[in-house]
Amino acid sequence: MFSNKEKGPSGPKPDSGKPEPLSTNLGVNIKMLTAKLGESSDFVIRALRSDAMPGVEMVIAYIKGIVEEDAIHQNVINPVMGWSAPPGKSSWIETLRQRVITTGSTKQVSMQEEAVNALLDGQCLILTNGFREAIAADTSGGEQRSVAEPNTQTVIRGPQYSFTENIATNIGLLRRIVRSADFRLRSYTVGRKTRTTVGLVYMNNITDLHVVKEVEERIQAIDIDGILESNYIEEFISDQTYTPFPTMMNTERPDTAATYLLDGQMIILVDGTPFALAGPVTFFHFFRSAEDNYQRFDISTFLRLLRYGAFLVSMLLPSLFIAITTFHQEMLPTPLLISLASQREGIPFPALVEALLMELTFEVLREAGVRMPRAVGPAISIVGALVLGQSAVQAGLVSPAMVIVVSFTAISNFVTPQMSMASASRLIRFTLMLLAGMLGIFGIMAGMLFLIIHMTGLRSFGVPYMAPFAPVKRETWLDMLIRLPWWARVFRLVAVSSVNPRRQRGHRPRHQKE
Amino acid sequence: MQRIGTHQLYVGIIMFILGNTPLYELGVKARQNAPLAMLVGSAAGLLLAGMYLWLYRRAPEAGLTELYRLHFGMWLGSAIALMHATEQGYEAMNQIWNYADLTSLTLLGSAPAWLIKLIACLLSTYTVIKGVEVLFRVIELLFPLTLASYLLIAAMLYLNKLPDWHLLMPFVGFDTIVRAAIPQIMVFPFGQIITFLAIWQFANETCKVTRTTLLAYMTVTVMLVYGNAVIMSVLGPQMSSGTFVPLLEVVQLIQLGGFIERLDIIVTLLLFFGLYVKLSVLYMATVLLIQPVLRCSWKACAWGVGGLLFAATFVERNYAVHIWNAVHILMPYNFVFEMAIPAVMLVIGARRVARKAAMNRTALQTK
Repeated sequence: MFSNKEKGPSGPKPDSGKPEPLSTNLGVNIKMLTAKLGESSDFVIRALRSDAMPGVEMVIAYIKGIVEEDAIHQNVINPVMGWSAPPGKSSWIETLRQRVITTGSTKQVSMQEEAVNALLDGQCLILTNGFREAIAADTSGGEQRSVAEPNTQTVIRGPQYSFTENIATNIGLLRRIVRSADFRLRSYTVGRKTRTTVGLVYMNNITDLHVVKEVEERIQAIDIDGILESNYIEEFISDQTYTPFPTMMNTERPDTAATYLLDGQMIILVDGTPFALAGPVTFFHFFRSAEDNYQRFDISTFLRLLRYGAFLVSMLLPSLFIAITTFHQEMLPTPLLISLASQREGIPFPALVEALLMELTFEVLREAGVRMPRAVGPAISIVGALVLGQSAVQAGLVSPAMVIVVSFTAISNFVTPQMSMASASRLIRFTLMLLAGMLGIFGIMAGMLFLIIHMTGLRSFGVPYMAPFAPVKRETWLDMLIRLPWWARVFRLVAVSSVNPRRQRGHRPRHQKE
Repeated sequence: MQRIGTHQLYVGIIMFILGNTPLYELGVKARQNAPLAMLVGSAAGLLLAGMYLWLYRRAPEAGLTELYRLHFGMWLGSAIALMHATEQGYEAMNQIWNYADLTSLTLLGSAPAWLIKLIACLLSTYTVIKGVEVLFRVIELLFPLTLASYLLIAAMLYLNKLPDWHLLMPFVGFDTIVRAAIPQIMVFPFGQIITFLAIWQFANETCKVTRTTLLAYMTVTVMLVYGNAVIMSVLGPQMSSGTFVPLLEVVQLIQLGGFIERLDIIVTLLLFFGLYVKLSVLYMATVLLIQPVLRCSWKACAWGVGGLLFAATFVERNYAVHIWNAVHILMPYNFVFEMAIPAVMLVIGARRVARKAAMNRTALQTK
C-alpha cells in the first residue's frame, strides 16, 4: 500500500544546472532558443542576408512586446545590413558589436542561459553562423505608463508627480532631485521566475553602511519564484513579522523619497511598483507628511500634533465609549449621562455589540468602496449614509451617539499619512473594544501598556522603533514631535546616521535678528 | 550585553521610587508634619543609597548575585542571593496585590481578582522577557506622561483653591517626626533603591552612575515631599490618615468648568503605570538574582518567576492578611537585606573584594 517512501511535492527546484555554451552552428542555436522558449509565438527570428557580406548567415532574435521594434530597425538591422565585414574572419564580431550596432549598450553572450535571459530582458540577440558568441543589444521597451500625479499621497503645495512602474524611470526621478555623487544604487535580481529588478538607493556619506550591508544580505537571501509588488520585499526583509505595526514606510512621491535619503534612510525600489520602500523608520515617521516641509512651520506643527491625536482617537474612541457607558458612567457629567442614557433607551444590544456591529459595517462599506466598480460608486454612499446611518437610528437598532463615535473614528483613521499605520490602528481598535467590553478602562489600559511594551521592543533595521523618545535622542526628539523652522532643523532624523548627523550649521539667518 | 543610558537610569530611579508610593500618605504618625518626616526619611535613605553606591563601585560590572559571591564566597553568596530574590519577589507580589486591590476599589467592583492579577503578571512577564533595555525604554516613555499628569493635577488643585497650607502647622516636635520617618520611610520607599544594585551593572557610563542616582534621588524626594505636603494641606491630618488612598480622595475634590470631575479614574491609571514600573523592576531584579544561580535560560527563568509570583498571590487569603504580612514579616526582612547585609559587606575587606573583582576581570579578558 503505502510502504513506499512518500515522495510528495519536493518543492520547486532551483532552475540551475550546468551552464552550457552556445554552439557555433546557427541552426542548432536557433533550435535551442526556440525550444527553451517553448515555441512561443511572440518569439521573433529574422534572418539577415546582405549583399555586402555574401555567405554570412546572420539572425536577429527578440521577443515581441518587450522590445522597441523601431530601435531594432534603426540601430541594429540598418547598420548591419549596410556594413561589410572586413576580410579575415578572426574578430569581426567584436567590431560589429562595438562599431556597427548603435544601441545604448551591447554585450557579448556565450552561454545558453545568458542568451535566453537577455531575450527575456527585452534585448535583441544577433547570432552568426560559425561564431560561438552572440551579441545582445539593449532594445528593451514596450508600453508604459507615464509619470503622473500622485494618487494616494497628494499635497496642495509641492511637487505634483509620482513614481511609475518602471524602475529606471524612478531612479531617474530620484537622481534628478538628489544630484550628488554620493547617490548610490545597488541592483539585485530577485525572483526565480519573474527576475524582478530591485534597487537599493542610499547616500554614501549619510547612511550607515553597516545597515546597508545588512539590508543587502537580506535582499540577496530572498528565494521565491516571483516578486510582484514591493510588499513582498518588505515582508521578507523587515525585522519582525508578528506585529501590527509596519517597520518600513512606502511612498509614491520622489520628493518624499529624497527627504528620506537625506535623513539617512535607504530607499528600495522594485520594478513594477510605483511605491518606494524606506527604512529604517521609527513609529513617529509615520505621522510626517510631505507637505509638512512645504508649509509654514506653525501650521505644520499644529497639523502634526493633530495627526497624533487623530491616531489615538481612531484607536481608542470606540473602546473608551464602550468602557465609559458600560462601566464608568460616573465619569460623565450628569446632563451628558442623561442624554446618552435616553438615547440608548430602546437599543436591544449592549454597547459592545452595538459598537462592534457599527464598526464592522463601516469596514464592509470601506472595503466595498475600494472594490466596487467606479460606476456604482454613488450607490454606496447612499446606502452607507442614509440606510445604515439614519435608518438604523430611526429603527432603534443603534443610538445616534454610537453613529457619531463610529463616524469620527473612521474619519480620524484617514488622517494618518501612511496607510500601513492607519491599518494597524484599525486592527488594534477591535482588540481594544473587546478588552473595554470585558474590563472597562482597566482593559484599555492593559491593552495600551501591552502595545507600548511591544512597540518599544520593536526595531527597524536596528533602530529602536520609539527612537527619539525611548531611548531619548537629545538632538532630534523635538524635530520629530513638531516641525521646527527650517534653519533650526540641524540634525538628520534617523538615529543610525551617526556618520554625518548634521544637515546644516544651524544658525538663525542673520537678517532675521532683532 | 544590554545597556541603559544615563537618562534612562535617571528616569528609571525616579519612576521606581515613585512607583506605588502615591498610594499611601506616608509619615502620618507625624500628623501635620508628615512632609518633614518624608524629608527626614529621605535623608536617612540617602545614607543607604550611598552605601549601595559604594558597594557598586567596588565591582561595577558585577550583578548583585556576583557581588554577594565576591563578599561571602560562592555558596553563602548564592544562598544570600536566592534569599534576597525571595524578598524582592515578595515585594513584587505586593504590587500585584496593589493592582487587584486598586482595581476592585476604583474601576471594576465586579471583575474577578485573579484576572486582574493575571493581566498584571503577564504585562510584566512580557517586559522582563524582552530584557532590561526594553523595560527602561518603556519607563522612559511613561515618565513624561506621568510627570505631565501630576503637574496638571497640581495645577488643577490650585485652580480649585483646595490646598490650605495652614493645615501643615503647628510643628509637632522633632522626635515625633524622626520616629515617624525612621525606620519606616527610610526603608519604604527610599531604601528600596537597593534593587538598583542589580540594575546598575547595565549602565553604559559607569562614571556617571553615582551622580545620576543621587540626582534622581533628590528629584524624587522633592516630588514626594511636595506631593505629601499637598495631600496633607488639602485633607488635613485626620482625613489623610483615615482614608484608603488619600491621593484619590484629593483628586475627587477637583471640579472645573462644570464638566471636569471624577478625575480619580484618570489618576488610577497613573497609579497603574507606577505599579507596573515597580512590579517590573522588582521582577527583573528577582530574575537577575536567580538566573546566575540556577543557570537556566533567561526566558525560562522569567516565566518561572512570573508563574511563582502569580501563584504566590493566592497563598494569602485576602488583602487584610496581606497587609498584616507585609508589615510584620516583610519589614524585618527589609531590614536584613537593605541594611544588615550591605553593612556587613561594607565591613568585609574592601581591598580583598576589589582584588578579587580585578582578578575576575583579567580572567575574563584572557579567556
